[in-house]
Amino acid sequence: MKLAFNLTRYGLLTLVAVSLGTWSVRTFSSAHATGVGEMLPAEGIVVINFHAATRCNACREIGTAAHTVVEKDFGDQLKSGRMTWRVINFEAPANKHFVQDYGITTSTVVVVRRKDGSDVAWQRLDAVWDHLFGGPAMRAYLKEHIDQIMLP
Amino acid sequence: MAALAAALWLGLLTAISPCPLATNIAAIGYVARFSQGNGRGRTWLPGLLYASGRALAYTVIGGVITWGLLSAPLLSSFLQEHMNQLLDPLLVLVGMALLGMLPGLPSFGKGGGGALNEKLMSLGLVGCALMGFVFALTFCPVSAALFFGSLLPLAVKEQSAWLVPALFGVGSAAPVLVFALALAVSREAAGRAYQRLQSAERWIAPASGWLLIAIGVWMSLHLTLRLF
Repeated sequence: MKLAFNLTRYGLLTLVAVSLGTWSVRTFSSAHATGVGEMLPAEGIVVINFHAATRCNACREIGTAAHTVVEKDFGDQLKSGRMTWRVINFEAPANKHFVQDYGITTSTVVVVRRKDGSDVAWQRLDAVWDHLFGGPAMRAYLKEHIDQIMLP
Repeated sequence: MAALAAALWLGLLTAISPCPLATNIAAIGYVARFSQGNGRGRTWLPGLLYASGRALAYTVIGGVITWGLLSAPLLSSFLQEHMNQLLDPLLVLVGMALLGMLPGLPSFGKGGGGALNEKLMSLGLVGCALMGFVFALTFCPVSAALFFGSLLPLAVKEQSAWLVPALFGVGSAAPVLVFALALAVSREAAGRAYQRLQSAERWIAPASGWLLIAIGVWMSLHLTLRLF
């Protein structure tokens, strides 16, 4: 009985130490990261699904819905290369600038119009959360806002 | 009035979203543990302290952002990235402390009274408020969307940096408040059955400790170590 108690006690303390160690290493390496993050194309429309390192079911659903709209409603633009679909982890050290660039507070979809390597116009579509599992309403919302950014 | 109701509703939605639901279940265990140490008329106190802690945390965040001290994206990103990973070892340690598993520390409330026991129980009550405050700072994508995406714009629109976030906090503690209220009502109504309730409380102490440990271990494996 005492052996089981001690095994549980030290097992849990080990898990605590490993968790804190993992968090420390991750935080340290994030602060000293020098890698190159996701680069957006220099020209065209980019539809980006931003997500955190841990993806919840709702976050995955947002990504799936947006990808479906891009493929079904903007298939021609996608094939011609005028539109690009991206999935970006905004918590990855080299991608953290996107948080400030587009004011990201949680998993979301951002539509950007790019020209000569710079953003010309962009919209963050946070209302995807209001239309979650909404089917046609989500599709209509995404399509409407992607269309708005596509207009020159 | 509609804005205040909306704030409360958004808080309720937050309470049942994945991360806050897990922490609220952990809090119910903790609140149950410290409710039994109080007099019959004060059973609700730990639950109320927990809700106050949550309300205070959201009010502070609301104030910090509306005063422009920090940007919502930066704060949201920081809290989502770090707080969950810091919370899971804390839950395991608090659970272990409740069970008397931390080397060199007595378990909370054990030992049949005395000054040390009373001190530990008072510490437990402060812990309820602290727990509410810390749990409120652990954001997941859904709760971040509700707070930063829906609640804060509402607070700004209504020019209510305090009341709207505070009501959101109360709503987000609803499961714990309902539990504390049910516990208080059942105790008052129990009357003759009070002795039976006291014997039931013998298993509440270890159950609450194991509940905190189980949730802490799950969060640690899922959110920090990302094993599944």
